[in-house]
Amino acid sequence: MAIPFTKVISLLGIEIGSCNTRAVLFDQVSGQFHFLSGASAPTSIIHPFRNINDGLLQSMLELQGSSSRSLLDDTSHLILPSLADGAGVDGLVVAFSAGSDLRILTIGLLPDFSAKSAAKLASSIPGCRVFSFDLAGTPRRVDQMDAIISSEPDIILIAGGTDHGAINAIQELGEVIIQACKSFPPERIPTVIFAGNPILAEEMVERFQNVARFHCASNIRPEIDREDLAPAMEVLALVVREKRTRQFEGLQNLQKICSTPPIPSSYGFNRVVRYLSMRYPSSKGVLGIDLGGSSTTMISAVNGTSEISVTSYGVGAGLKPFLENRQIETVTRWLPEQNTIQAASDYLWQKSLHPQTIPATAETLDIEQAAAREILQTSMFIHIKQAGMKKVCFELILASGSILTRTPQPGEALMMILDGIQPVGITSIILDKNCITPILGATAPINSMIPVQVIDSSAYTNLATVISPIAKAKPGTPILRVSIDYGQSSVTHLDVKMGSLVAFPLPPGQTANILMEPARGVVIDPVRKANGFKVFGGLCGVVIDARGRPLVLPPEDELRKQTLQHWASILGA
Amino acid sequence: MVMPISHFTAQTRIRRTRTLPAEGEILVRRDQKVNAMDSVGSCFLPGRHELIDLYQSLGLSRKTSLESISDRKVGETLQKGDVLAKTGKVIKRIVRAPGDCYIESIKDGKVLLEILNPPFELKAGYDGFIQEVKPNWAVVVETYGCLIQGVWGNGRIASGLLVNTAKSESEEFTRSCVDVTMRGALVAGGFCRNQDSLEAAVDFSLRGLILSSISSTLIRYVQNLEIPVILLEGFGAVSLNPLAFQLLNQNDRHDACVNACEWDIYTGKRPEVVIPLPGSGTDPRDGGRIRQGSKVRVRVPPYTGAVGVVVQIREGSTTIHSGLRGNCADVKFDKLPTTSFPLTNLDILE
Repeated sequence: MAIPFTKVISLLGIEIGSCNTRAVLFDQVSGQFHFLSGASAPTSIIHPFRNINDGLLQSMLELQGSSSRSLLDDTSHLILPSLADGAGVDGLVVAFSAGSDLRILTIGLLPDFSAKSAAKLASSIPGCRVFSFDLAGTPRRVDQMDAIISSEPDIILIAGGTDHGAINAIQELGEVIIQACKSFPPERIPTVIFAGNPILAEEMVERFQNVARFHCASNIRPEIDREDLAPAMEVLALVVREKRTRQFEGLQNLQKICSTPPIPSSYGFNRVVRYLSMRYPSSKGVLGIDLGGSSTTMISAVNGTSEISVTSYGVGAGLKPFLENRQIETVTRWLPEQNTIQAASDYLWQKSLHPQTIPATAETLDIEQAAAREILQTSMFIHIKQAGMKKVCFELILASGSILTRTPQPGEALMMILDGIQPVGITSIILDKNCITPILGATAPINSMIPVQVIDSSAYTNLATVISPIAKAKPGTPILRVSIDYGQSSVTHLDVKMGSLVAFPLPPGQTANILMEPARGVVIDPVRKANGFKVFGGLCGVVIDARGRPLVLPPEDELRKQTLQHWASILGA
Repeated sequence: MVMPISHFTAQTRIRRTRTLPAEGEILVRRDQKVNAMDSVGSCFLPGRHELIDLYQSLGLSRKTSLESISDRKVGETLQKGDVLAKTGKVIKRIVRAPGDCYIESIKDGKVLLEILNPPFELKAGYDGFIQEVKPNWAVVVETYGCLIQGVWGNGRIASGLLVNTAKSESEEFTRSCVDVTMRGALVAGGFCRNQDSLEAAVDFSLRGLILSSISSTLIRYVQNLEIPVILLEGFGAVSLNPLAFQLLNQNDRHDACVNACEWDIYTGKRPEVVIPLPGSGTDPRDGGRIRQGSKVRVRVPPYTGAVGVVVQIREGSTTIHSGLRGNCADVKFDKLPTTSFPLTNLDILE
């Protein structure tokens, strides 16, 4: 029996990731939703299991143990709805990012408009390889046909024609796609999504009937200078879910008992980041980072409007595409020992073969963290380009992904984020230590209070408030005079020099007033103009990152080694 | 925790399904004996397209009736040089098919052709018998013998006489390991650090290489080699594991087949060496639970490639040397101290 959404008071969330399947439990305590417990187990979609059930069952058994709540009945089925004795849950939500690469081909009319929007839409989903072309760049019909056939797409996403705009070009393109679809063996015919001029929608439905699975979405470029991806994202999510349901044994049955349809993890993450951007109404916005095993999701949002980019780089299977595209030296420059280039390369390639392994030694942990910095940097660069951002300046950065959240010391996570993202201005950095954000986003349709109240609970960890001033000064030049008033007459003063990294301890839950006097030409924050404000504590306290942007490492090995060790020691990494 | 199993088995039943990438023709029948390099099926994969404007090519006006210049129909298959269209009685002008092709569409005098690629040929992969035929799509090849599974391959297949050059598990594979007497053989060895050693495989016309590991800097070179290269352990200077070393020794100078395909963790297709041997055997298990007494291999540092026996599965999660926590097992080795490893870093061997 389905429970009305408003009656849901306990909820199980599942995320099927490429390496791990996470199960988390939310429940109401004193009328407020809280994160109660979480557990994970290796994802079982790989051979020989090839289903989601083993990983799911294992993670739920672990969750039963850690939460001391019965979730499964005698036949290992989820108890849904909950029983009078408190066993079971009232609702279930699922997010997924696992699976072999789905190939999405995007086709638009013009490179800077519909084609760009279509490619952006396709790159919002984890586990996808995106191929693109536009009619302006590929005008010949045969070339279009060859591009479609050679990309062997699982999904074709067509965009083009503003509302009441181009018709003929889209009609001709439709014909080429129909022709190409006929070249594929029946079981490989791609699913086609049309998100262009709505005048053609009905005609397209008719033409693609009996040719391919076809879905219409609202126009992603209704006007030449207006982009609207949100409705089409829902359609794309539906298509991806259909594909994954066919790939993963067990997902269909799980879907039947879900309170809302399963969503791609990046979409769940996006909902939370968008919400946070409305909660912190600043033109700086919020950045969400999810550094996973096979993909990295970057979401920037300002006042509820977001940009998503997902790269196929990650610290598991995602190492292979990363290492194929980047020089190993970009990773090893973050390692204090220069003679580890070969060892680092061998280790990362080996890890790409066995993505579920965890670094067992301090050296291999260093190598993975170095790779994480570079993956963050590359993914951020791609995101900046896609979103057309001018500055890496955010009010808040929310970081998720095991490599960031399961570090032995919190300072290691902060170092990776600072080195990888290199934010400027004043930023609060929050860690999703239980990796619940995608799941939390998935709960929003059931009860929008769940994410709101869980975010307010202790499920997230304040890592630090970071101040990264913008200055063009020589290393060693004083650029900032800082006073931190901890209250009760305890005030710390410090002159911050260019090139330095400084940390003031301020534990979570405590606050302090900070006053900064910048030297001439130094900008503390490009948006926030006040030099004095209240700061909130975090595991790493208040950090002033005056190392400059972009961050440049000393070229000399010995100096670089000393510098890296010095920075690490400051943050306790 | 249930985990995949890697096989280093002296005698077992080996059954593999070989599937065409598209519907095509199966060229063998049930119970037929096949060799590794035999084609068991073939199909055509979509080729590139060409659009030919017949009117333009013949210099005719579009008012000319198409039927008067061409009697070709959609769906026809043509050979290279076949006439697509022609005109003129005294001075003939002819448009010919640019290659073996298929007519996809004819519209307004424009013919869209799909140029046919040479057919894709599906290889048996190892010597055996056809156990099952799935018409137009797949065959199941079965044999009995020794199975050695790898972790990485460069996508090639070959068969030949197996020659093991490794005198010990930790011996490096160098140029001096091979000589002209190994021409046409599948050569097995330890880890390889230098490109020069791999070049020797080409110089001496080896048919394939079975190595414990290679330096990751050699990946691109190996990917471009025409001969199959299979890695049993992965990347770095990782010694042959004792089980692999023993099996390669035992089967030295036996006929073997190497399928150096890429490891697909989703389908379970993985690179492997099959050495067909007389006798029987049962199907190896694909997955199992790590228990006390399980034979396991370490997959990442420290001790990559080392094989030991689980002496204890620890309760709850344990903090390991890196400072991270995980569910761990204590593993006892012959030549190394007993060490605790996260279960995810171990591989069950059978």
